[in-house]
Amino acid sequence: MTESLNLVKESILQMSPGVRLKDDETRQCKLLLMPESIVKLNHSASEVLELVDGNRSIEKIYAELAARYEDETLHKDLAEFLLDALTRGWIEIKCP
Amino acid sequence: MTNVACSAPYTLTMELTHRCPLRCLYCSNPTELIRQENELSLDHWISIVDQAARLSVVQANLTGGEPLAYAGLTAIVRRLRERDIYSNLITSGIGLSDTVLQELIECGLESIQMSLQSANKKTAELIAGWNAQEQKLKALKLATQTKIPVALNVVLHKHNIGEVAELIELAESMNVKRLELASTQFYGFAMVNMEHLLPTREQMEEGLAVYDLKKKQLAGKMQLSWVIGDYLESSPKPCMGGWASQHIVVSADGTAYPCLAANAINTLSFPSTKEHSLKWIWEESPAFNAFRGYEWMVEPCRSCEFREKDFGGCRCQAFLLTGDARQADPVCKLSPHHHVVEEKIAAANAYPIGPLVHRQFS
Repeated sequence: MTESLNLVKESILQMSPGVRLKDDETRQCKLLLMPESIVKLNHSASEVLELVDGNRSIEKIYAELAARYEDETLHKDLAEFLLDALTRGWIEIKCP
Repeated sequence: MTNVACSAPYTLTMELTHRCPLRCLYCSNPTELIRQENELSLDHWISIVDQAARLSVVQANLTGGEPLAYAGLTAIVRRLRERDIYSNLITSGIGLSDTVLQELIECGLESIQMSLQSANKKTAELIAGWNAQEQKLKALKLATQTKIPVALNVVLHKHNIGEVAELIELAESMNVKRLELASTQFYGFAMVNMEHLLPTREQMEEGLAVYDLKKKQLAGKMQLSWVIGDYLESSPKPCMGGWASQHIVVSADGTAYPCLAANAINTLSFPSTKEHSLKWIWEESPAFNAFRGYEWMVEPCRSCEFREKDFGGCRCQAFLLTGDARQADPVCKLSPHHHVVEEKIAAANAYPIGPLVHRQFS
């Protein structure tokens, strides 16, 4: 799967066109707004997506999260989440 | 009756006008179309946007008819941006010039959903009652060249369900990143033309086989989706995530509904934004509270283990097929009215029956 998406640790990620995060005060959470759908994000998903800014590589995103949490499954969880987000079209790989 | 506590709505659908150059056989507008002289003023729509923002609405669909036919469209888009509400334009593409497109994007439009009737010009004309294919493809090309995402939406039915492969190829060739196939839902004009539109189970399965294959091949390149029609399914769709739980629709004349098809339920009196605040409509109005929670349910829904999952299905469909909006959605196998759906399927399989009826302002 990672191969078919050409995903490597140096890949820089960005939000897909028309997809953005919104702070929602009423609902006390972050929302992902995109064409014709809205996703209510949990805390960890919003933390990752805030780092997807068109500048950071996957390696950099991992390093920043690893500095915040000591979690053995972080690497695996992050890889799974990013793959899922790519497949759903929330985020994309920035062309160099 | 005490009202069931409700949470804030997420989306607002603004049906700006019922005017449209197309006359599609399955148009989602009510069969009684609203005339231009009864359309809302721009000031009223701006007020609705402001009220929606205060209610915590975060996304808006601008639709019609053809929303590009409403003169205040760009001003509404600008206000939505100012209120940080995500805006999505649902258009036929007719009237979408490069100038209009650039202006909308500058005002803050965030995404576009464009319709196509068929990959084939003749079939498109049969469905829309007008030869619009070239204009539409030109508009689609313009839109896919902008920075905002464009979804192509094709309503599927008997006349184009055999085109799944062609439609996907066309979308690929036009550089469309998202193709939404949507089986016809039977409300309004689509109900009038039901026998002409409902495909056979075999036709749908053939289409699905092509779709499944293509979806795998195109993973990572194009987002493909297909909302399958519930007449051919055995369980009902969860009505809008529950009646009046997430969405508000404001029609061209200011009447508010929990969904686009709800005006069919003539036993309810739907409130007008000209007479009431959006907040009152959402929180207090009898129509919006009519089917919240579970108290309104009758058997078999009332004691059904799936009631929190599908909310008894679609209230509008229950009304259209049984005359009572509280009944279980008859597409459900557990509904005592399920035979009505079976009869409709049989009638459509015995096609052709009556004449095609295109929508029009009489």
